[in-house]
Amino acid sequence: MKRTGYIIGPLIACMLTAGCAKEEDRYKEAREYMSSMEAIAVEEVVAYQREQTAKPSQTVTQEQTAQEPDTPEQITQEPIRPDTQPATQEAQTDDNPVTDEDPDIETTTEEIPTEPAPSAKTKEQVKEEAMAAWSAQVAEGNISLLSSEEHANLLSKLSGTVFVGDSVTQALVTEGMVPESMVFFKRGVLLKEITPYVEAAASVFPEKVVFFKGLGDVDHEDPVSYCEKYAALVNLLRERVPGVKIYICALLPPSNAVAAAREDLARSWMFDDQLRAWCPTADVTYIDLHWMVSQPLYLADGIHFNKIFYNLWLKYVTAVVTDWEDVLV
Amino acid sequence: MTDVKKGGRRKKDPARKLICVYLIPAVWIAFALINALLPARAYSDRERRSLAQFPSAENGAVLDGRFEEGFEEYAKDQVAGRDALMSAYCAVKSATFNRENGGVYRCADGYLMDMPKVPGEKLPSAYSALLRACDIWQDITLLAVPAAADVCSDLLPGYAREGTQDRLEAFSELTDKLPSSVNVCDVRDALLKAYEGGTQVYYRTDHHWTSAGAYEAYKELMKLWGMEAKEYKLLPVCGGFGGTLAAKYGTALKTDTIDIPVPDRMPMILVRISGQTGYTTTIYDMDAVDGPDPYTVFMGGNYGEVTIKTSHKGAGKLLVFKDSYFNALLPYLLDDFEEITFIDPRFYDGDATLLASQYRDRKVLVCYSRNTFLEDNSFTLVIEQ
Amino acid sequence: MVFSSLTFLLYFLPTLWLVYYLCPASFKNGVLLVASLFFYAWGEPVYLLLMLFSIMMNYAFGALIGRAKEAAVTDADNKLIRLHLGLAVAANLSLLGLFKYAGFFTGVLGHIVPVEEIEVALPIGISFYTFQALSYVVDVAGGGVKPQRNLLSFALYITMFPQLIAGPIVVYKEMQDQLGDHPVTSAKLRRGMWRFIIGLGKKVLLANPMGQLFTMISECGEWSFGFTWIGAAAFTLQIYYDFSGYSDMAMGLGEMFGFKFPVNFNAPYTAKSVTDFWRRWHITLSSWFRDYVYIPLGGNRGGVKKHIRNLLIVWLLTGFWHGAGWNFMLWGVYYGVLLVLEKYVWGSRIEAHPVIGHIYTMFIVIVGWVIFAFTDMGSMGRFLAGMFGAGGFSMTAGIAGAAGSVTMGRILSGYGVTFALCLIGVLKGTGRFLKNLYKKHAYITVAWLLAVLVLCLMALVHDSYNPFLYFRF
Repeated sequence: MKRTGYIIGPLIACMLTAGCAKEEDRYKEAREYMSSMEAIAVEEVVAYQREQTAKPSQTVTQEQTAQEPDTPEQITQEPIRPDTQPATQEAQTDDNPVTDEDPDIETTTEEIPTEPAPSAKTKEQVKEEAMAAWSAQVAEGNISLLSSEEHANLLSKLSGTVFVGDSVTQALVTEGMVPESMVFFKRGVLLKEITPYVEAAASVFPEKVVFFKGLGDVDHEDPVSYCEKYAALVNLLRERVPGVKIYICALLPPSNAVAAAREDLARSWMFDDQLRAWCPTADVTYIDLHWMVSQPLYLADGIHFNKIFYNLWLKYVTAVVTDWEDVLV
Repeated sequence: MTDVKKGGRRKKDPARKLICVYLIPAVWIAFALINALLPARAYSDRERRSLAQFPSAENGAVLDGRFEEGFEEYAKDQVAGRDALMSAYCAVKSATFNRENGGVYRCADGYLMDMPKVPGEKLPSAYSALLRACDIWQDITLLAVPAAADVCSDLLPGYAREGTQDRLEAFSELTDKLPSSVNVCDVRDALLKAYEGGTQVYYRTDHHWTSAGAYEAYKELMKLWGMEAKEYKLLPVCGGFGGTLAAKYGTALKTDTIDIPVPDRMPMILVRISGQTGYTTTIYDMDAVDGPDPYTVFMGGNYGEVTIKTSHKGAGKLLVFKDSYFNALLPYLLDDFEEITFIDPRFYDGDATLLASQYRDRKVLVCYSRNTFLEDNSFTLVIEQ
Repeated sequence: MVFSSLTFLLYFLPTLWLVYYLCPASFKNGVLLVASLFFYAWGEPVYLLLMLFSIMMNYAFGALIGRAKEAAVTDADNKLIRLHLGLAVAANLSLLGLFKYAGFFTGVLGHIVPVEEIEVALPIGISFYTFQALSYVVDVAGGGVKPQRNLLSFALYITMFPQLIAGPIVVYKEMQDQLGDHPVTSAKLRRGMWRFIIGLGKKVLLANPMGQLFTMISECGEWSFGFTWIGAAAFTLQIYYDFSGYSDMAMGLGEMFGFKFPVNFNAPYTAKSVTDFWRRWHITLSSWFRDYVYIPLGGNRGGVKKHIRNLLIVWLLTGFWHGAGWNFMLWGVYYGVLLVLEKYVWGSRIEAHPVIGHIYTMFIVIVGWVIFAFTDMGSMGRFLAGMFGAGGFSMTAGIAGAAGSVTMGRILSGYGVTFALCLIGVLKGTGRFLKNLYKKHAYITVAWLLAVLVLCLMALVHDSYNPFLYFRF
């Protein structure tokens, strides 16, 4: 009896483990699929998707084979893409403060005989008209608030853009201007502490990053170190996200009342000047917001701005970031 | 066993005395000792909750009754062999012709089903939320997934089968009342056909549909939208699954296998879950397969807002309001849309204005189980702000 | 603490056994007293003080009256004794009235005078221990018992945990000798243990499901003939098995510690008349009311009118004792009237035809329980109307219930077996069968009792089963 036990026992054990192994085999294929899906690197997918976006003809033909309709509309979409290249060149000149000389420059560019020329000219004009209209609104104190459609329009243009900053950026979320998924902020964060938030922004592989910071750093930095810190962040971003476009908003001064009371904050213009000078050297676009600032737009603390300001801010920043294409005034 | 009478007096059998008098108390005390000496369990897998621990006697808890209540809970939760006793109880109950326990019916073929809700006289809040959503979006589709008892009703115990037809009609009446701008995707017939053809469309131990069931719904949905349904292979990813219904009933009769749909090409997707940094590239949670709730292999559970960017550029964007049923349907949609954002209103922080501005020009799918559609308030709370 | 809870069964009772059986004889009463106080305090830490106060008060009254009795010579002395007794009775009744009936009285008054309804939490067992205390002082005054010198023993009498919560009402006369000397023999241990298990089984395996069935039906709001009668039958069975189960557990526990408590139930649903029913149901209560209210009022002496008056008073009070509500008083009066009618109108005819008597009794009893079950007169009225055909005579059509529709099929499958067992258990023959079983096959008896115990454990675990299914729907 005992001897057969010695044989039967291990036999049964073998059968059981074989059974279990067979069980495990059943799931192997699916689990391998899942682990390979998990193992794909995010950078790889980002690159692949960018490739797919840049191949409209291929996607068009795929869609054509899959469905029949709307071929004429799809073909007309193609010419738009070549337009973007000359437009970007123009955009770089646009970001400098507009002076009265610009209309003259525009007339000269009109003579460049390329198809895109009409739209480029329109862009300059568009920009001028928009700035004029907005400045008038600021001066008269009747900035129009965004309607639901306009807001949706802006947000769709802002896809691929993220915002990084401190409490002035936080206001975008609290005022319901921009969804939280696009904003990386911490109230009161300083440039020396903001790296994790920049990394978080980088982890979503944005196409454009807009920095908007407030006066917090004025007490902790000097203008040179201020720009150095920005430089480090910009390098970090460029390392992580190849091809990202970076915009830094101006450092806005406090309200007159607060500037009078606090000398340290009143020095912010020094930082802003340094920033304005440094940005072009680092291939970063400086977004000048000073024209937008008027005393009624400040909150009671004289450092933050109200919802009306952000309405206009969103319009302006979207226009800058989309290079004045189809601007919403 | 029988006593021997000798002249009127019973011959005392010491074994008899021992057994009759002392056996039961001995067993009782032994069990009580084992029970007291075994360490307390922290968590019950079956009940998906943490078990009560020994209460603290500080701060006057003894005087105002909190210690006592806590101890009662502790005594109830920490019985030795609790799960085995529970399964034994279910077995006894079924042996006495009981087909119901904890609100869950014991059906034929090892199925457990709970009774779906019937639409009442009052319109459910999700209905008015849908109406409000029609103001914001033009292309809305409602996919109200029927429960197992609606499709596989022949498995129910006889007395529970009666209300099925009425319930189905009541729900159809409700969806008929919706405005014509809402497309209603009725998947019940497709599911019924698949079930009658031998496919397992619902889990035996869980209230969700299987991936095979979700596949049928996907095909119906694509038909409704005039899009082509892609081909998927269903591969098993884990077995021995005992889901929510088994937990409610007390034990699983037959366990389930979970399948995942595998396409021809690996989808290259970027998944962004609100509240988490960065992207992931997968919609599956591998750890869930070995954990207590394997159904969460799909997406790892429910989150407020998730956006998936696929590499199928130019294909249109989808916005989904969902509950957990959609998680099984999601893998099928990855190849048909450029971007899918799905929102679980129970966990979503934002409001309708934000949704309207972010996702204005999208195709909208409202994918709920019928029960959630009839009961849940969170969709209204999000939309009607 | 409740007998049918895991705390009691797995912690309190085994510990008490070990301590009691291992401790020296002189400590045993002390152990029981401490255990009883602990048992009571477990549920109501604060009301323990109330009970201790009641003990002290009645002990003092007993001593006072006893001494007065010893020294009594003149009529004036007797008057003094009656005065003391009156004070004692008044004190006890006020305690009971305050804690049990204050809400009811102020509610009633509130309709006439602008008085706010007071809500007082009802201390558990106050009805029982107050009546036991009253039996003590009355019997001391009457000379039937000697006052208890030993405070410990007296306290044990009042607080004894087996009968503290739900009876039986053990009058002091029955306990006074046992308090000093209550040896435990193996036979007593066996009988006590077995009786306890049977009581536990009645409560957990029979009464609780019947209670669920009744709740399922009564929550429907609308009833047809078939369902009302099933519901009424369910309640009838529930209250019997619940109450007699508790009494069995109390008797069993008492016997385990050497005490003999009076029987409280004697196959009441085999009664052949209403009078017979009340000789079999809650026997200790009706005995108490007979000895301490009915007979002092004059009983059946003094003419027909007085007799009827006494009966009605006793029954009104009996009903009121059961609960602070109008339906309970109605229930009491209902039985009072029927007993009067039986005594004077049709009693003899009923006795001549036992079968008809049985059917008539069960009809009365079942309707009586419906009155007892519904505190809301409106629902009670509708339910009774349903029983007499107001909602149609359908036996099978389903009705909409709170947790899904209630159909005959659902009831049969969920409760059919339990219902059948309940009906079998009600018969006298079942008791006899089980007794014979023990005589012939003792081991089988041990086996089935152990099986009942395990089933009870399973059922109690099931009651505590509480799956948390919030997240995923």
